[in-house]
Amino acid sequence: MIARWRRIPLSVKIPLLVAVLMLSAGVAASAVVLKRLEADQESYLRNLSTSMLDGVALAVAPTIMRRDVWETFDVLDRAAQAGGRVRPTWLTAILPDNTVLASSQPRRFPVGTQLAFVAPDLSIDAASETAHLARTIQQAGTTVGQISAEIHIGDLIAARRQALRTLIIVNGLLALTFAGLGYLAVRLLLRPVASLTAHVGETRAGVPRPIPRSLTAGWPQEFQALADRYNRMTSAAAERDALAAQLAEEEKVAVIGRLASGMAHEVNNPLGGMMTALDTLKVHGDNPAARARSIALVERGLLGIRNVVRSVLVSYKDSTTASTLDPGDLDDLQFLVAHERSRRQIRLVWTNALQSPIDVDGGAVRQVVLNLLLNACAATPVRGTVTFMALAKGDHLHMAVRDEGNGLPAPMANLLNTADAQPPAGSHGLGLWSAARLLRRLGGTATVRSHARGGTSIRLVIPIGRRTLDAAA
Amino acid sequence: MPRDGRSTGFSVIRLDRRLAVIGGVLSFAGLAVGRARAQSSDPVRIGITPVVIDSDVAFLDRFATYFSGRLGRPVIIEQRRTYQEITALLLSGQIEAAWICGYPYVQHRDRLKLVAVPVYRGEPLYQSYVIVAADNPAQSLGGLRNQIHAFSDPDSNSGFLVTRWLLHQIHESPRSFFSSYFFTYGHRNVVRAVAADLAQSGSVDGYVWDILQQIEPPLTDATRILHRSQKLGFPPIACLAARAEEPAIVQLKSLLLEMDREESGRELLANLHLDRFADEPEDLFAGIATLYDAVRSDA
Repeated sequence: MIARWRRIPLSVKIPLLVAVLMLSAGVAASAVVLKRLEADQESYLRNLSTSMLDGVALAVAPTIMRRDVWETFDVLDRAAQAGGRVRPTWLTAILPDNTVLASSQPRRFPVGTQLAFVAPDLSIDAASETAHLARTIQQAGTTVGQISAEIHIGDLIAARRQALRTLIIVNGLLALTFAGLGYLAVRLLLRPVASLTAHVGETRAGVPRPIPRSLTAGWPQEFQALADRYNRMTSAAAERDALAAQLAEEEKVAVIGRLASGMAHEVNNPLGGMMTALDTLKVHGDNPAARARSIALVERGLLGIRNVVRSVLVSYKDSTTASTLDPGDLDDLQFLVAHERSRRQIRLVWTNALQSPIDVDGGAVRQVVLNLLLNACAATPVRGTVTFMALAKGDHLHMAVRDEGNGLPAPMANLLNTADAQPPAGSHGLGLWSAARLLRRLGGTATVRSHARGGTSIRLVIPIGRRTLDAAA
Repeated sequence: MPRDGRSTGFSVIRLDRRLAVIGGVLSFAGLAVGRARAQSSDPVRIGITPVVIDSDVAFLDRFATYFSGRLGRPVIIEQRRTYQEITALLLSGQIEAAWICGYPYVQHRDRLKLVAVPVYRGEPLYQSYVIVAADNPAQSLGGLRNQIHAFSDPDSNSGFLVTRWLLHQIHESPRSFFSSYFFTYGHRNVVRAVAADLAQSGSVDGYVWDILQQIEPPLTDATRILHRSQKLGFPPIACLAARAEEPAIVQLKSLLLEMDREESGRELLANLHLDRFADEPEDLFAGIATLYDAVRSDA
């Protein structure tokens, strides 16, 4: 119920609240008005009926003292027929011995029948639309009789009902009108909010779009200020994004530089051997054994160079053209980190359980894994171990990279875990941020876990056959 | 209430006797005063009791104007609530004539003289009715036992004496027969009391009830005539016997007897639903006298 109420938009909620408040106020006001009306009517009735009864008592007192049935009846009958603002249904004169002397309705109260004195106070019976009151007549301190009266108050009750009907109708209409007006006013007031919501909703991958000035021209001052702040925020975000992209590009160039350096090193090592082999061939080419050793040495050297060149080609070919990931595409990455690994004498434990090509963007996967491996090598102490594992299970590709470093700082871990994470402020962490973006493009998720004995595991789960997410990203 | 009502009813007769004595004493003084007035332009005072139907101010004003113009003297209509008060005024000489009931006339016939008697539906007679509410199941006077009864006036023939005489015939009195009774001092009031069920039965002037049936049918429709009396002398206009020859009274008598001979007189008579006024002998009221003599022995 509460959850459903929270889901109702403000443009409905506020008019509803206004209507409920108006109705509540109307009910409270109506209750007060009716109470006041009732009190006024009672006071009015008490005054008029008391006045009427005083007049009757004054006129009838001598006839009661004379026990004059006819004269008493005549006065009571005329008073009952008078039809003033207070209409007695009946008036009855009662003697101190509780016998009826005369009544304006003799059939109801026959002469001589027993009828007790009643309380003189006005009592109202709304159900039967009657009021009762009495006036005790005294002469020189001696009670000579009582005039008891019943007054028809149908008119007053009808007026009360009419007032209630009017209050219900007026309050109902007022509540509906205010609810309608409230709805329109709130709709009008909340229109900028709807536009803001629409623009914020269009934000993708943490890149919000500014709200055009033409749209905010007619907005209230508060919403214009909000829109200005929002636009400034989008500009800052766009600038930071551009800067991050630039930094990422620079990082990429730096990586390429490192790779090129590593590759030159990897080429240079066999190159020395091969040059030596060539010199041997020149001098001892006639010697079959020397010739065979030199040729084998040259062949190994060329094979090593070929592997290095091929892995670089595979890594930096256009990622959008890669349609699948071969098991060998992952294995090639060992060559790309070989330089970094060997530089720091790091042992790489490599487990690639992929048996056949799988339907994922191979280039993107390679870049993500390469980034993580390079970071792992950088984080792991000299002579440490970096572990890689990959396997396809069900519809997902599972991979893990573990290092023995001091642990991934929380902001860095957040880059991987948080959707639409903002790029880091400096160049530090750009590799991870780029990897996270690629991972989200692949529809994958990353889980970062720090181990108690040191080191960090990053587990990646990438859906197979989800490359269509590229279009949506 | 009932006890008081009874005591009132019977004290009336004793009071009447006292009034008769007082009236007798006063009549000598009144006679002298009256004669002196007869020579002046002092107003002629005529007493009216509720024997007449239409006692509203406009009619009484027309009534006074009619006689005033013809008498050449102002005429003042004196109204009182009870017959007794008018009778006292008449006997004391404070008024020249009065329209009284046959009962007080009979009670004081030795000192009163008839001026004129109304003729109603061709004869100077009327009846007394005992009425009940329209839904009262009683079929005879016996059915009214232990009920509440409304009388008109203790000095009224039709509104008291006749019913009292009827009860006398069955050896009952109002006190013993009815659970209680009261006086309304007006025949129309008796009809109202019975119609409203204030009393289950009432004694009323038949002439009044008949006229009410014509001019106020909703009132009489709520009642039913249970008993009609024999015809008795219509309430007369009477004066003190000692003043009967005064010019004003002689002239008044002449005007009354000749009212039906002129248009304005006939209009007044029509208002009263009467044919005319007639000069009738005293024995017209012998029937009432018989009733009076019968019940007087009860007192």
